[in-house]
Amino acid sequence: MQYKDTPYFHVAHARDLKGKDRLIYRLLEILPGFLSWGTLILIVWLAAYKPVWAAVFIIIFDLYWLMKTVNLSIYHHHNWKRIRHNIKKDWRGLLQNMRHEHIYHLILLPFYKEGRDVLENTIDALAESDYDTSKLLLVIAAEERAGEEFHQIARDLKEKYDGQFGDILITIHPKDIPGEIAGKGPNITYAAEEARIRILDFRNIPYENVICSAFDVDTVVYPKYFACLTWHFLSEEDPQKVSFQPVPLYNNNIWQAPMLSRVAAISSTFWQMIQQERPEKLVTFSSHSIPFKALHEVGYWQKNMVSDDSRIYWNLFMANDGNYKTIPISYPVSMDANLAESTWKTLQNIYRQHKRWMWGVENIPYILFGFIKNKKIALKEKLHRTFVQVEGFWSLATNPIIILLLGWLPIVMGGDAFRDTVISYNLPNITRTIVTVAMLGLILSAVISINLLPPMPKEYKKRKRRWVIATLQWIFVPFTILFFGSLPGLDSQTRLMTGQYIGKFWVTPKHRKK
Amino acid sequence: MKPLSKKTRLKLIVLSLFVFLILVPMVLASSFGYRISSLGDVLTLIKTGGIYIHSDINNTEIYINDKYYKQSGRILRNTLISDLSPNKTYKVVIQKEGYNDWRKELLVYPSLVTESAILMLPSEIETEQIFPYEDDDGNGTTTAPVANDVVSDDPKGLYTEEYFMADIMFFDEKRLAEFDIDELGDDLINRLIDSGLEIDLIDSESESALDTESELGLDLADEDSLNATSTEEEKPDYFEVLGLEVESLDDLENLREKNEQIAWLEDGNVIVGWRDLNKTQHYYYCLFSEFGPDDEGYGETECRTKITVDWEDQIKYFEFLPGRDDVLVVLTYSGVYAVEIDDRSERNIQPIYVGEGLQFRISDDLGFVVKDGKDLYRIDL
Repeated sequence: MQYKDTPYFHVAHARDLKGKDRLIYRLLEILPGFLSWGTLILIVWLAAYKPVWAAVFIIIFDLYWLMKTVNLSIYHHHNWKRIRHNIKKDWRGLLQNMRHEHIYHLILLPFYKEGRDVLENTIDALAESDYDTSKLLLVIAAEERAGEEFHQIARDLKEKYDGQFGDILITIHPKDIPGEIAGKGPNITYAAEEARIRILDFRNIPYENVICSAFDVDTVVYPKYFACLTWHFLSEEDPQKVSFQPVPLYNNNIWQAPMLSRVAAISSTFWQMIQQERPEKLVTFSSHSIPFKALHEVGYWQKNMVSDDSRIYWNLFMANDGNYKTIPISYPVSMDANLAESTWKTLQNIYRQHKRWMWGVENIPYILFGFIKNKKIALKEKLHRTFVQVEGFWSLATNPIIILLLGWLPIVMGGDAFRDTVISYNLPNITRTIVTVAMLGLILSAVISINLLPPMPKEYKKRKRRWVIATLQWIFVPFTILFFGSLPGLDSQTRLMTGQYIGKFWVTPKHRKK
Repeated sequence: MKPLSKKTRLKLIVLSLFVFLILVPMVLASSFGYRISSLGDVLTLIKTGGIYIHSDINNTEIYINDKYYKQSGRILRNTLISDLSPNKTYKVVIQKEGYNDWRKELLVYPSLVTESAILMLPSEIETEQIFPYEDDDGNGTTTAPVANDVVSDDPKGLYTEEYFMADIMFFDEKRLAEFDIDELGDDLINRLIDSGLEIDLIDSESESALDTESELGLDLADEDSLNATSTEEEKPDYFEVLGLEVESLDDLENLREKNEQIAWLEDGNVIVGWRDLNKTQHYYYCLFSEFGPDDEGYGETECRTKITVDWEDQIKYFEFLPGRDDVLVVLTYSGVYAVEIDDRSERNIQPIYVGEGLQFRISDDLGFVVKDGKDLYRIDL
């Protein structure tokens, strides 16, 4: 039996399993939270009872973090150069040298209650692609639970854009299907299957010639996206064993978003840029593209969990016995930064969105359980992947806290005897110096962020001041990595550890100022 | 353009690891105070110590063993002097124009930081006379508008309110008993009550004094002292810790309490004691009994519970310096002085008001007041 046919291939949580498997899976769910909380509690305990040890750990950790930051800054800088290079590159010209006319792009646009303007913005960009748009098969994937008003928007858009694409299909995902959560995964899975029957099979398009792009509804593609994607697809030795990940820029409304939202959004972009330089760590995220044949073989996206975008990669990885990868195409797509009616509401939304992203930790038990069950994956690969994933979530949740908050703990909790030591006096100075040196990378971040920003709307006044703020906003990074990185990370891991699963996909509201 | 190759990334990681492995021992050794020192032609690794100076004055000049070290900051006034060879005594001098110098000889221990706090009062302390009367223009004057004998014995509103309030701080029980409360009048009593003045009445043992306090409706003694006085039950634990053989704190002369310290006069000296050993004692109570940290990285310490501030002359009266619990203001036959409690080397003593036959009092409302003869002066530190 192939792994994809096993009962645990589409498992969401331990409760979906029985007996020993359930126990193992449950223990694996506890692992990330245990490691993160264990680390923090250990540091607090050391600070109180073995403050010298705690100080030594913190200094070594600070140095490790400094080295890591230097490395990541180099990756970041290199990817910035790649993005600029790829934006300028003549992808269509490159395609002329290879047979590409047989390739179709199935584009899934799942939406819930987003406004018509959001959808129009997205579809306009698709229509204006520097690519043969007759090869673009558009699926506007509505939700029954959104109501008739939104179904009508889909119908209006189909009418408006009729003839501009190879096909436009409207799907309405039925509500309250048993075994499905309310979320994006069930919707795009439903849409993909509908498209298979009503477009691909109907038009006899071979699945292996189709690349399926699952886009968040606010995804505005850059003009050469499909040419770039097609080139990468055709250039792969085995194109059915790879997914493709663009770089999400949150530029659609970046000038409207408050400062903290901008920093959080651009930081997310930067993280994805860094991941693009470490393909072995890259998994699909947010808007991404997958060969339809591979997708169909694994039953599309999981319908019973929130992190469908990253889980589909792990589904494919397990189904292909580890012989599957994500290709970083280093070409951008533009999306919405968090923006709500008020700054406070915006901050709440950022936290919720990041908590949903951090809920990707639910993949850890899936991966490790799969590694236990799937004997065909090489041990070296398993160990490497395990380390990368576990360390990744552990770092996100704990590192900012250790760096920014716990450096002072031995001095506070270490007692009088420790406070008299040279190391207690040196600890804050050393921590501060290392963090400051590491933060010098923020200058690079500020330069890159300015370069990635879209032009400021012409009607904006006080333009110089806005540019200055857009540069200086980076001083808030310590705040954002703590409140929109560590805290939602710990929140998610604690939920998973205690079995309080997130059972509903929180849809980030798309709000744009008129 | 391709992603960074695995080979390039591996090189980066190896280079980072190399730098990391070099930095870790260097930074850790530096954090623990290790420095390379030359003993003749031989380089050796020594464990240095440091001195931390708490300061309430900015931009001071710091000298170590007569060599200029650095200037303290405008905002960050405290200074860490690090990398000092251990088991040596360092002469620390801190100077600032317009202030008395502060000098201390401090012993530095390996891997430990010796703390100290400066005492630097202005070299010219400003005094402002509190006049007993006002002339017709509202200016202060020492000339009484009516006959002196009437005024001094019957201050029914002829003294300025400020002078009267300051003066009453210096009343002893005999003087206070001379007041006929009925004759003071409601207006004056109300002024006293409204002022909320808390006056410590030294040697206030007599019944008459306490009766007077209660009649005035004023809290004339330190609240804690009164509590202790009225508590005739179980003695607090610190009686034993401090070796107090009195029945109550009220039996101690010139008792003063500040944070965890209590202080009293005994044979013309001030005894300062730490009354709660569960709380961290100030650094000057503890002395390292041996050089070098133990296995845990700490030094073995011996902490006292009492420190005696002795003086060549008899100390007649004392208070804690406002805002400090490590400095006393003492009254001797020759004047009023500020003196450190810290006795790890010769104490810094700085004059506040020099002269004979003085008295001083400190209150929250009126501040630091010195009585020189019949004149009262407010001291601005």
